[in-house]
Amino acid sequence: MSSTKFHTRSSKIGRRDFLKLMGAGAASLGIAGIAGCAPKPATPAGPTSLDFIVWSYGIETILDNIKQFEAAYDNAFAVSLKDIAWGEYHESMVARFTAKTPTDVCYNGGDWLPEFAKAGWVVPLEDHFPQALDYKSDIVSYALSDITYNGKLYGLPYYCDITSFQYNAKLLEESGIDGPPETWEELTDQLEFLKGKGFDPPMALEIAVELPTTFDNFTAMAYGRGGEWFDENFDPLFDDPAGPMGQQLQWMVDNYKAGLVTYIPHETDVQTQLNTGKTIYTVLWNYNLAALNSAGTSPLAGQYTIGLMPGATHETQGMAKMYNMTQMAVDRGQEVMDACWKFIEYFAGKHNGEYKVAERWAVEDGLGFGIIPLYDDPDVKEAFAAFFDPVVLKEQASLARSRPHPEWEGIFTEFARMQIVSAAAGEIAVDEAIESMSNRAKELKEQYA
Amino acid sequence: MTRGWGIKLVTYLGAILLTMFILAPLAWIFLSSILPEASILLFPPDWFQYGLIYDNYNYIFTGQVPQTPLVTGALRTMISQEVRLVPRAILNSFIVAFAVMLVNFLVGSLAAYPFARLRFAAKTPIFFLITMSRLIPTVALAIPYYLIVQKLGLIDTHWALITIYSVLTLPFTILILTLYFRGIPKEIEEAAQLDGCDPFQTLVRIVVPLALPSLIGTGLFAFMLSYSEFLFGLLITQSIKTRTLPVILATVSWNPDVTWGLTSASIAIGLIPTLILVVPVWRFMVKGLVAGGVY
Amino acid sequence: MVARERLRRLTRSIRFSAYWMIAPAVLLVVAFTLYPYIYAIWSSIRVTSPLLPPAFAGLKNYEAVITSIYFLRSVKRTLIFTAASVPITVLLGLLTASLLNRRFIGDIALRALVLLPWAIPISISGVIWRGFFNGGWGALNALLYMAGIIPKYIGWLTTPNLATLVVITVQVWTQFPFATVLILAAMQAIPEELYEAAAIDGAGLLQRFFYVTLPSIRAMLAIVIIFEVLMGLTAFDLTYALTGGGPGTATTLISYFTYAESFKMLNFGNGAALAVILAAVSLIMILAILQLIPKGALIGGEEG
Repeated sequence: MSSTKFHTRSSKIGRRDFLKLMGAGAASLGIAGIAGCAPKPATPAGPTSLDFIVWSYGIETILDNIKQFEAAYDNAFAVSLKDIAWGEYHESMVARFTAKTPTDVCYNGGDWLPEFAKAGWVVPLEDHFPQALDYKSDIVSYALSDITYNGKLYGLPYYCDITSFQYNAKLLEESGIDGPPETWEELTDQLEFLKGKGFDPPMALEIAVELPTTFDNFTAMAYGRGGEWFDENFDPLFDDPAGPMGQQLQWMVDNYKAGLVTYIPHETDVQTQLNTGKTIYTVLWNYNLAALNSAGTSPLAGQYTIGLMPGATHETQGMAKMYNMTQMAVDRGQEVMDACWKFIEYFAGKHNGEYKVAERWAVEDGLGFGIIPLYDDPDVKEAFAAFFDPVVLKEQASLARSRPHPEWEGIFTEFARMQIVSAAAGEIAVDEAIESMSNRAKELKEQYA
Repeated sequence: MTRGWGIKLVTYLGAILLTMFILAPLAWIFLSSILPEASILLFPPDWFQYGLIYDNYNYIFTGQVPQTPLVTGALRTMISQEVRLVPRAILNSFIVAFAVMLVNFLVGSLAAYPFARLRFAAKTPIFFLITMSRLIPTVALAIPYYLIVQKLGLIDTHWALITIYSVLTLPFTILILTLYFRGIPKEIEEAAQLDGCDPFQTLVRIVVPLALPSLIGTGLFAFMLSYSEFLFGLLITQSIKTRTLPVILATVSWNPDVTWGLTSASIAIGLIPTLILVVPVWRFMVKGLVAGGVY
Repeated sequence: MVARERLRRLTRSIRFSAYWMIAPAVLLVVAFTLYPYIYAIWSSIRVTSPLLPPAFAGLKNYEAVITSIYFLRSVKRTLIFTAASVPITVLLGLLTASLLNRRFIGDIALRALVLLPWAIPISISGVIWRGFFNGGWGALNALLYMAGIIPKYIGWLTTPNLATLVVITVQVWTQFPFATVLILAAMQAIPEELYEAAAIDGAGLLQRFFYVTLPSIRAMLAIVIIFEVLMGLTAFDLTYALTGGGPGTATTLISYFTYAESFKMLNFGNGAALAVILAAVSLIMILAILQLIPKGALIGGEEG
């Protein structure tokens, strides 16, 4: 009897004091959040809400565009913007979709589209809004194939770019070389000459096993030789070590070992390397050229220009980043889908007959575009003249094609990047790298069939 | 006499080498932040060729675009907008880290006391469960953590980060506090118990005041870890309302539209709270981590 | 009789309070540890990918991971990295703690300074050091060149062996402050009488270090080593910012692949299998280290 009493008394005090303490700590523990996690009630009267996810680039500009969009539709829509660091965008979106975190419209890349589409995370725009197909004729071919999956149009382009051969034209001329090389072999000769002139290293490439751009850079260089990864059935076209891919890999090893090419992780460091004036050549996404030629970020602004990708065909890789509508938006119903379409059309398509947002990105930030009419837009022309040689740019863009993207591309590129980087640094033989990449591709095709 | 001199010499030599090792890269960051980009990249090196500038800081705080001294050709500027979010991100990091510190203070001391002093069933297994809970690399926990946070409706909130960082820091706090509490002479507590205090009262009235240095020390430790955590900051925060400093700085250093000088300036600003905090951390931490009795 | 009864009641109340007091911590840890652990182990024995139909995989994920081209190479690199960085970190921590345990001019300033590297996010430390070691314009090259030590710039981050050294150096830089603090704390807790007794016995400086200091801080050293081994085996943010894993694959560590398998290749099953392997290796190492310290030093009996 007395034992129970003692017990009760003691526990009472213990618990009361404990609760008092916890009261203060509960908020910090997020327990309040657990209690309050019931779904928000729908508010049919207010504006339709949209969750728009982007990578962290130009947030102020995006917010301003959103404001104008909302105003254009009398605030019938309320867009909430979330941004994710570019370097981790893919992985963050995977987490987001896996956990079904509200997402209606998002940025996406052509290389991730097959994966996201197959997983059922993003939906074909043309199935819900056939009028999207009207935009096809205005979009350049490499961008169009990047925003298309399984023959269906999934999104409209936000920004399109090509990987380009970039160089410091002023220093090249001063060194006594007439112009950029036609072929990779000619480039080797130039690099030897430049090294003799004190340019050390004369060429810098962004090649690093943990950085996805590595795969783009290699692909673009091999495209210059007319190489290709896969045919339309995603069977490997690169198995021959003496083919363009193997040749380009061999070119990299040889020039790396000769000290003519250096591999630098991170494109920003490739830029600074070029800005030291010791390095003439690089291969990067073209937006880097805009940064190199911007007075705000580059001390040697104005000296850089684009050359055609060396190699027999001078081809290069083009790509599109796009706006996608998600399955989650579809699940929310027709009203939300309509809002998504209006939003995507405002941002990627025409509003009052003009490609307003795409034009703004091009003019203010030098972002590439895949919209043919914008090539003749006077404001865009003027802005681009500061960054790029318009004639070469147009020629190179016409020689750009998008990479074939199998659904298992993410897995393949991870694997291939390791092989490319290992081989390019001389850790493994080129034949060995080519063979294992080709085997892996066949394996994946079978596994994911 | 010579022996004493020898020790002195080694002491000061060690101190100087250590200072150089710690400060070298940081000095370069501070210097880079006030040098024009052209000076940084010059070869042969001549850092002070174009004098000092404060444009990078000016841009972060006022939005006024910096000019490099060697302007040629280009008309337009292209410069990161994200850099300007650094001050706000510092505030976010501070809020989160401070809350985590409080949680560690409360939950940590509550849990450590029974482990140090009381006898109860399954004590050892529970203690090991807690202290070993950090074994799986955080990378592998990312998805399940994300799922929990999502189910609680806490994505893009400070609460989510506070909860996760508490989980990540508590094991260490509990381990250290347990060791510390055990070092406190038992007689003091026994006296309190004879006066009729139950364990909880003993903890609050006797142990906590005695263990204050340790509590503050582990609390500051938790603060520091939370202030600098990156992966969950990245996954959980999705707007500048919640985004923490490491995430913003990483974004800045990846974007192609920043100079090294601007990156340096944003890092330098991010370091200021750290600089201010290391002094008290030191004071409490060394005193607070061990009370003796740990052999 | 009465006394015994009182004692029993007291013990009961103590037990009850004990559970209340540890409840918040245990709840948090269970929710955020047990569930993720089970989730990870469960994923590791299943086909878990948004691109593949879910199915039972048994040990196939483990097989796939272990036989992958990266596994052996990166495990070897990670072990070398850990085996190099942990002893250096602990040794430097020990030396720094011994230094800071003395009085000298500027000691307070140095104490504050020592903590600085540890308080900086590791990913940012990577960026900071990347600028310092940059082959084209980094401070180190510039300083060495200006001092006339090198005739031309060195590619610190682009030469395989140098890059490995740089990554180890930076890991030590970020980790040694924490080791210092813990070791110094343990050192300051050593009763002065022990040193006096040793001095009376005629022990010199080194002897006192080996016979008094070292044994006294054994438990703390074990904690530090465990912590640092974990940090070494799971180092992840650092190489991304510093070297991107290069040149070649010279600095690509195993935890990168845990991340890449899950998030880049969308194969959560493989990623989880790798994480479980990594955790098992960590556990084995921790148990081995725990053998070094006397039983009951960390969580003792009721005697404390």
